[in-house]
Amino acid sequence: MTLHLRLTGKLFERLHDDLSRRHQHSAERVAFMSCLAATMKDGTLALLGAGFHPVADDDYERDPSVGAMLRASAFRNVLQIAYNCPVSMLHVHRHEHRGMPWFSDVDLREAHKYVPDFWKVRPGFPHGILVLSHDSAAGLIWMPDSGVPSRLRRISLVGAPMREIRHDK
Amino acid sequence: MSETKDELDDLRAICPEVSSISDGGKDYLLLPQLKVTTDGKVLRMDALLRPGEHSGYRTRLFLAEPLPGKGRGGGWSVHSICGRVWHTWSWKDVPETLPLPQMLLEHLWALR
Amino acid sequence: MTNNRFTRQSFLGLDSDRTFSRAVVAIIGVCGGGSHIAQQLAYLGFRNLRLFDPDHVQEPNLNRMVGSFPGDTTKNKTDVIRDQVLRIQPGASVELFPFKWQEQHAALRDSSIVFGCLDNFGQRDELEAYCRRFLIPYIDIGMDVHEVAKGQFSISGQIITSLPAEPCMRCMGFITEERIAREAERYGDAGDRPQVIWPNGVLASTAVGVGVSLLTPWCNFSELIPFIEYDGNRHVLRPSSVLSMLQGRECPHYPSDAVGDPFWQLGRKLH
Repeated sequence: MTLHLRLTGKLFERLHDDLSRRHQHSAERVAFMSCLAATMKDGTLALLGAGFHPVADDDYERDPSVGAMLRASAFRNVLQIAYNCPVSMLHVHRHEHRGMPWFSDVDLREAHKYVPDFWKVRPGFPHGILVLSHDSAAGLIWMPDSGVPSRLRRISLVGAPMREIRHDK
Repeated sequence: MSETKDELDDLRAICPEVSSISDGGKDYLLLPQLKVTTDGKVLRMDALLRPGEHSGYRTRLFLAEPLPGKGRGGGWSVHSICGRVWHTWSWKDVPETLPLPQMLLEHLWALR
Repeated sequence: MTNNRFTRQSFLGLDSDRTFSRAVVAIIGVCGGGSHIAQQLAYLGFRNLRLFDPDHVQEPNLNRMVGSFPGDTTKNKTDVIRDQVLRIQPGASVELFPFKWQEQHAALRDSSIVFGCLDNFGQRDELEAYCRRFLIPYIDIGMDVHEVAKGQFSISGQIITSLPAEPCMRCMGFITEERIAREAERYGDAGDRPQVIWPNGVLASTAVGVGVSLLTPWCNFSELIPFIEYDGNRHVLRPSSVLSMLQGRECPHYPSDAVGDPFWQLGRKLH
């Protein structure tokens, strides 16, 4: 199944603005984006960016060994959102460089731990992770109860101007 | 949604899984697998009740499938609501002031 | 230096050829306005078009339907416009939907842009709602001819760009319940609305220009004009005066979380 993320340029800007804010002790910030799903005529699954859910300053652990470590309370908040609304949840963070980003081993190891928690509150929906750079983005999506994620093939930013990030290979 | 919990509960007697849904600034009531009787036959299909103004009508009932030739008023038309296709017919003057169950039944009556 | 058919439009951006060839563009209504749009997109190098129109060509269409000829009456409008597109851009993928768009709505979902060339407010309202739900830019055009005094006429029109998270046609006061209701009352009494080719050409060309500006960085503008009014008597296009009232206002009609398919379930057939 081909996976496509579509969101407004405004939502993308909000993500960047939030992730740009300095934190007292965490080197990086994290946010969550809720998405609604739609199947395209050719079977592609599109995730449509719906909501932006920042992580509160108090919800970061002090852990200099990683860019950002979230407290359980941060996850509880977004799990509650996914419980209340039929959404897919994407964990979003940013790497501070230009060009195509990709997930570190730590990013992937942690994602394998927390993504399945979303199926406890919102089973049957895909959930995943998104990493931004200063001028690009990449994502991995886990289909329900799947241990192996699939790469987002397209990320479309809808606005003036429009922008498309493709990972066709 | 301006309908009260009591009104929705009353509607559950006709359609147990009724829920609210919105599209384009308008509120609707989704009625999954609603029983529709027409020409003595009982059909079950998803339906959408708009308990307010829509396309020049005071209220409107949309069905997942058309019933061409049926329905007092005739004039079946196709619409897109909540990303899905719906069918309705020209049955006017079911007022928005009616209680929801009665509103729904007045629309359904026109299909008998 | 390459000297191919798109050389003269290379100012649109180094990747513009690839952008156009990859974009999927839907045109709803392929008569007066839509036929111009299809033709121009083909000339620009767009290669994936989806044409929606339930009608067949009739004699009164021949005064303005670009690509139609006297022998085309009784053909599906979509067939005629497909043939025109393929004359200009052989090898283009032109999918035809000779139906009301609602009946084949799923084919719109992955569009890069939807151009609406409808003559009905209710239809526009539904199409905009659909595009908002699936985060698709929607560019609407339309024209009217009014008799303002005996024998004196006024031509007017609009190009409206409805982008997700930006003001919608209801915000702009273009679509109202009153207009939809009045239109519904007149159904069957509408008669043949006056239509002529040159205003359609102005509106369609402007709409194509807006679409190209959304897809390519050629002018680096930071402000889209979402509502352009056409004064067909003075031959002038200008930003609508309603735009000043919309500054900084969020659209209340399409909340940001009202997207996607509310009926979606993994593996469920499309309705």
